Amino acid sequence: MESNRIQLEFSKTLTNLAGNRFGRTTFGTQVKDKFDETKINVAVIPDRIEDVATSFIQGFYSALSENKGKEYALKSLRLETANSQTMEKINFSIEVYGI
Amino acid sequence: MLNCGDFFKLNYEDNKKNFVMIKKGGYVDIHIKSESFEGKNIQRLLSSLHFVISTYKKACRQIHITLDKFVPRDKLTYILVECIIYALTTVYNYEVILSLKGSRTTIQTKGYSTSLLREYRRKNLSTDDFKKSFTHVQEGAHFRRVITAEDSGGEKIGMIMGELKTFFKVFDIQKEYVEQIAVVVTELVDNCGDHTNTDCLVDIDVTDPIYQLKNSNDNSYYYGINIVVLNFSDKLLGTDMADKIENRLFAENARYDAVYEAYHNHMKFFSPDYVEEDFFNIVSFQDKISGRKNETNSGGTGLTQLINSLEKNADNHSCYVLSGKRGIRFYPQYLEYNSDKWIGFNKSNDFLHDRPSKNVIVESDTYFPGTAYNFTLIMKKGENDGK
Repeated sequence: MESNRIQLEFSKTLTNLAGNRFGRTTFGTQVKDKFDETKINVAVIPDRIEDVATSFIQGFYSALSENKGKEYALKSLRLETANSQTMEKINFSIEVYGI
Repeated sequence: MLNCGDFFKLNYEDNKKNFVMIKKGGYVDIHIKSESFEGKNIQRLLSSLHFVISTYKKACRQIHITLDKFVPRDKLTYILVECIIYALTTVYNYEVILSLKGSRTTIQTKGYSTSLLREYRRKNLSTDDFKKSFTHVQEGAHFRRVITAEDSGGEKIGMIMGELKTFFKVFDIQKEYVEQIAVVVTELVDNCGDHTNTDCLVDIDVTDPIYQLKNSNDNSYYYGINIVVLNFSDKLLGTDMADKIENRLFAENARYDAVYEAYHNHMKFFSPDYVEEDFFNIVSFQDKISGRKNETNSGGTGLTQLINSLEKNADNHSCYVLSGKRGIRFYPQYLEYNSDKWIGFNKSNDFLHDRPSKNVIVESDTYFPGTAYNFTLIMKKGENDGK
């Protein structure tokens, strides 16, 4: 399936993403209006972000998950970063704690 | 900033012990004597102060507080005294003269030696400097922040996580462990802002690595890491959870159904030493269970991560959460989720059918209007891999 890449933007000094409400706000302000149901949506986190807390990930996925279910949310929206260590942490968090 | 004005009223006992005479010149003397300083002494102090505030109001201009001996039981104990001073000087605009006699510290309270309380007592800090430092300290082995509810909902909370990691870099502790602490503290702050919409205080101190394990062949030296995370709110730890479960305010979900069933199973155990409030406090720590009204599919993560990280490093005697007059002690032997991801806080590790062990339940002399966590973590020196 074709992908729809959405670059996420944060303050230049921010190197860690955390907070359930901040995750929800980020989805609401940066992803929601660009979301394409016909494609795999890839939200791209800047490389400088070293860590993404579970609370942020759960908040980020919450609107989609509550409306359409966890399976749909994970299939249709992915968090991605070129920073391999951060990507590992994101994958671990989703696997262990879920969305 | 930290709405702790009600702290006094909620601990007031109308009896002769709390009568305080106002002296010429508008000052009062409050003298608490004890062999150590713990919950019942804080309650007595709060009660006397409420008498002063409600009786004398602005006729009182100066409050002399003498605590004799000041051997705080744990970090939360002396942090609460700092909150009391903060409320008296900021909310009620009293001048406070503090005398702390015979003070002694242990690994759990080493942070007192570099605390605002000690500096204020020694008159090294003016009241204005005390108020400023109350919300922000980053010096050597002491980290303090008060994060507003608004800030914890935005980018700022991620910045706090970064500041915590930077704070811990100077210590010779494995990076993986300190990152875990930074994450867990951040998640607790997020929980606080998200569930109660109130400001949150974080205070961390790290001791010198001079401690060794008792009765062990391990010759390693250990740091003590003492952490307090607290907020003042009329919502207690299990408030939202109780409402959600009792009124079945959740979408169809097997896990929430199981909690509802557990609630009815636990009713037969309810007694003076295990009350309904304790049950809902325990529910707050269950995996994938949240008190948020509109959430059924996720939740319970911040506290779950806390449990997982405490399991290996928690000091046996001083890790607990207090909310209202009830709380939970985090004994390492009870900090494991079973195969179904429930945590029972009991020997059987059965949350659904069995009550928590008696010694897990905290009954406090002080009413804490909000939620307060106190941890001492023991971490080995010499494992900083420098990555």
